[in-house]
Amino acid sequence: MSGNSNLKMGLLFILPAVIVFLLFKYWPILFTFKMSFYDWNIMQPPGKFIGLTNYRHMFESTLFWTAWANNIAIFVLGLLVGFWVPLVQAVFLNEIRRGHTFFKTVYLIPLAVPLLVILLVWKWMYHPDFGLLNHFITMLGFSPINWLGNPKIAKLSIVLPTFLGGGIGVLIYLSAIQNISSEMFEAATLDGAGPWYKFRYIMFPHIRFVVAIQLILAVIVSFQMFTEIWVLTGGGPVDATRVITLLIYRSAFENFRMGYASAIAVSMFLFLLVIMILHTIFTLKEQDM
Amino acid sequence: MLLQQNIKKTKPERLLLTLFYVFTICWVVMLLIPFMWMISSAFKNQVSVFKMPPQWIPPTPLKIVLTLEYPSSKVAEDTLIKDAAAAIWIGQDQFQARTNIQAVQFEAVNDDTVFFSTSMPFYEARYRRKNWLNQTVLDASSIKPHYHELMKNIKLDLRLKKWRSKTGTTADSLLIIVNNVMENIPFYGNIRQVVLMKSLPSLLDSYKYGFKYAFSKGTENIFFGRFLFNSFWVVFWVIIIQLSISSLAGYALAYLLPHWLSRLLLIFFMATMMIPPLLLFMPLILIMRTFPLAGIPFTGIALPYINILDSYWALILPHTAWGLSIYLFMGFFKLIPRDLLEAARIEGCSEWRIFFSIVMPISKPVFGVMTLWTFYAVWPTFLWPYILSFFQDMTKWTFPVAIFFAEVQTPYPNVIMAVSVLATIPTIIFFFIFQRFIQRGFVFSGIKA
Amino acid sequence: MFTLKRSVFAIIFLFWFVLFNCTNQNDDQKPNEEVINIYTWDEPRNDPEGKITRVLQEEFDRTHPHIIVHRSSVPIHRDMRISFISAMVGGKGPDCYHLAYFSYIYLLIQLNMCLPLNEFLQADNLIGQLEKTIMAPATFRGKIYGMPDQVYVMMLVYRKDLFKQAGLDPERPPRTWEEFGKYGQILTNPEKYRYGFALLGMDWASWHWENYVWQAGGEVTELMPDGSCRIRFNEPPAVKALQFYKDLRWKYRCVQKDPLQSYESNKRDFVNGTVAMMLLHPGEITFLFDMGLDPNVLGLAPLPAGPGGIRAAQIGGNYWIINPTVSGEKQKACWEYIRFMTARESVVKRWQLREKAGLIYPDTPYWQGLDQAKISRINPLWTKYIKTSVEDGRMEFFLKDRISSCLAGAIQAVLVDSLSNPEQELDKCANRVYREVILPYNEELKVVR
Repeated sequence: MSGNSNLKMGLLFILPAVIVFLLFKYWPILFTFKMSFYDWNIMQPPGKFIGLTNYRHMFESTLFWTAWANNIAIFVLGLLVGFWVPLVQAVFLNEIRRGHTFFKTVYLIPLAVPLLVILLVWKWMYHPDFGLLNHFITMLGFSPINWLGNPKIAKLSIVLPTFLGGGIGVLIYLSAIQNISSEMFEAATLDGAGPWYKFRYIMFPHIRFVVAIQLILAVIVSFQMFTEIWVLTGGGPVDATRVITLLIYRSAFENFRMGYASAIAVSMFLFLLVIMILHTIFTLKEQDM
Repeated sequence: MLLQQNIKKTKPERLLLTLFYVFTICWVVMLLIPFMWMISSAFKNQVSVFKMPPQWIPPTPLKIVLTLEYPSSKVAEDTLIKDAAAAIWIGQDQFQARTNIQAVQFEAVNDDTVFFSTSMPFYEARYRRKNWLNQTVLDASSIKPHYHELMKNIKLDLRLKKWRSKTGTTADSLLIIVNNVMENIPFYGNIRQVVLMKSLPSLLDSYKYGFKYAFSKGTENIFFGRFLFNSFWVVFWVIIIQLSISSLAGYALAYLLPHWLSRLLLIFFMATMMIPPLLLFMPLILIMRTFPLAGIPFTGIALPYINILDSYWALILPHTAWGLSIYLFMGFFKLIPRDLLEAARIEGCSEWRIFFSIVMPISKPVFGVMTLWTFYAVWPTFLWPYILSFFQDMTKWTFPVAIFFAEVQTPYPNVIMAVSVLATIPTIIFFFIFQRFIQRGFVFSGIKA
Repeated sequence: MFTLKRSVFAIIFLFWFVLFNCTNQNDDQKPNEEVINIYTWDEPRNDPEGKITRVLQEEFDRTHPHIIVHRSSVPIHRDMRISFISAMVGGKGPDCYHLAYFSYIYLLIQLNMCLPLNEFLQADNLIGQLEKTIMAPATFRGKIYGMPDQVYVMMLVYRKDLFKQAGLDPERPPRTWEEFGKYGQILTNPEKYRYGFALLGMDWASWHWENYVWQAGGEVTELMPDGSCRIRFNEPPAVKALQFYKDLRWKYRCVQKDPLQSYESNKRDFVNGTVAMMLLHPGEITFLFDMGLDPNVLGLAPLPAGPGGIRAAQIGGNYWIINPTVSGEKQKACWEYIRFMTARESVVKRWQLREKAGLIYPDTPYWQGLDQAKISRINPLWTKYIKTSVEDGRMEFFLKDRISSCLAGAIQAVLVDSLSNPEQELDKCANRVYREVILPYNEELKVVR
């Protein structure tokens, strides 16, 4: 078989994928860029070309900046509250022999329960009067907390369900840890190294890439977060949880200002593009290892 | 690993291990509490779900057992049904949403023989009431003209049985109220006994209500099963289309294309993974409205199109482009020994033949893993179906959208939790079917993340 | 092996075929020469009010055999506005639509989604017979775009049983703001998780708040003679109204803890007996019964008067509009249908049927010279009260659909923080609204000229 016919067959094989990606990924993105320059008319598209006016309105809007600040706050909060837990948990779980399989099965539960269901359960647990959490808190002798109604706490309430849904992270870290050969640890033990030393200088360098990739994924996930906020607070109290995605949603599907929504979407896209490039670099680096 | 495994542990190491256990158990408990609470809430009724302090074990539901005595067992059935209807609907009017009573059981006796009995749970009664009764204030006279519609398709037990006096629960104050209410209804027969009894099947009332009546499209009810079916249907087609597209593409990337081109195309596919989905939705709506394209891009040339916004295709198609799946297929195909394929080529097999009869059979694991992954990626998706639901008929909603709107419309946590439990069951079934692929999936993801 | 594969493919294509059939089932209705088919979204609900509508619709079908009305219900959404606009964008909008609410018909006019009705109205000589204030929101540049369907005046509903338990006279609802606050305080019982008043603090908070602004003698926004818009919600009366909200939350402590609680949940709490008072639009009273409220405990009252003794209440309602994209013949048929459903006689008949069903609540007539008290046993004081409020013309404030989300922020701010300053919050909000809504709007206006 000649290389030429291979190429022909290859192009034929890859054609459906290319069409699908062009149609459902690349064309919509170009279209979003186009829409952002228009005062888009949903009944008679495309409407009027208005240049950069949408962007001007966007930068002048205080809500736009609040939304970015909220997004960053939610990300940082997620990092502080939730990001380290799966890693620590995986390291701990690796040591545990008794009940190992049981714990691993428990971490798969979030996979079996749809996100929306998890959120609705949490919403019910957050209820200020009849919620389970406030019941626990009053049992411990504190005054009840208004989980979703207090702008200072609402962000934390958004982060908590996803952090407890992080069981999958544990399994990813765990499989990375288990790939490390145990001989190195044994050698270190013979040299008299303590657990911290072994973690810091043997285990961590090996899973560094996995951590980095998880971190980047965490950025992407937390900046794309929509369902959590939409179900729990809807952007709620005093715009404390109004993030960029909610802003896009509201402009596009509630106020029907598609052009303006596209402008916001483009700003978000450009931000994530930077993260994406970082991600690609890490992926390629890891591949070469 | 960090601790020594086989040798006896030192004291600080033992302490450390205890800490590990404590941490793990705490976290596992925190993970499990929401699910326990979900299941527990789903078995409550709309009164007990708002009880404080919260109860983990739902209180036992009660039912009214009403025994009426008739002069003979040859009473016209209509009369009996009228009496039963009065007891059921006035009971529902007075006790549902206020007490733990959840059903009425009606028995007609003559001497010591029960010759007619029927029963109805209150959720069913309320639904029928909504359909057939115009009155907002209920009394026996407003129910009787409608008894025929109200009692339609209800199982009537006409076998003769021996009557035994029943002993109810000891809910005294409630029993007095129930007695008062029943005595004020002008029955044709005479009251022999009114008792409150435990009714364990009523624990499932939230589920039954959620499944049958929580979603209505105008006057017509849509069973929750419909939404589950829609989700399943969408996932089914996504898996078929996506797996065929990506496996072909992965094969081409692994073997058929020159290295530079496959590297370039891989970036082309993978780059799309980081695009925030919300960004695509506005144009995707337009694409679905005028599918495939209203015109050739940037030329102004018009093309014929169809509107598939209100069809399953709108839900299915955007999921078919998934970079990760192409990447995983490519990675797996690269592990296949090249000699095997070369040998087949020398024998003159076409690429199609090679793909279908050599590559596919030995790639079962990767197909299994991808089926699993696609299922878990598509099955719970909320955002795209939600936005699409603005443009679609209710009969095409997937289940997350339905639950979301149920939460907005029926703010009763017990029903919402019951529906949530119902929605979780298929995932668990799928989980068991594909269990052996799960661990393998994590090995893959560990390589790739 | 090969036959197996073939049969698998055959099955898949069978599914495919079925799937395609699913999507196209709506499009094969053949047009009949004799009759005109129109599509509407006014399939009535299964509640007493819906049944009354159905009686009227059946009468129309009987008397107009040449028009066939295909009714379906409004697609479920958090916001009916979005259901309609999305359907129009998706190309599946109804021919005539009855739920164009006063608050956003302006948006629909801007989006070219309604047909001017002047010709029809003039032909039937109706313009003079309709209440001017009620027609105002549908009038734009001298053209009238809507025909009123149902009009309501905002009311206070309260639970008589909870009033009695708290030692208040159930027949004497609060009449002034001070009384209202005090009543709320008395009715609140944190141990029983009971609150005096269910406040609306979610996204549409301004819907209820505007009433208080008017009662304090102010306005939210004002439509200037040249068509531009002026902010007035940073003036002292509005500050007073927001201060009152703050007092309700922090001084009297009589509102629910979660300011974001949805309107549906407020209604649920009212039905459960967790909340004693709330503002309600009377058309939704049947929803409360539907949720299980005992009609005997429901009390209705006009809103309490503000500091200046002003008893203003919002008038809201919905218009019928006609889809401008359908053919002229259909438009005429739609008008005939609308004309029938909104006729003077239909309104009277509706009141009579309501009384028969035990649904007694005041309605706001949009025809001049109609008095509900003469037709049904309604308290004549009510009709008087409604008449004055109609003459006062408290329509929802101008540009509400764009401003309300910003205002909700200011309202939530005082509800969540006991140290907040209402004046500052409103000033901040006014600045934002001016920059983000008013300026662009006034710019648009100039461009249109």
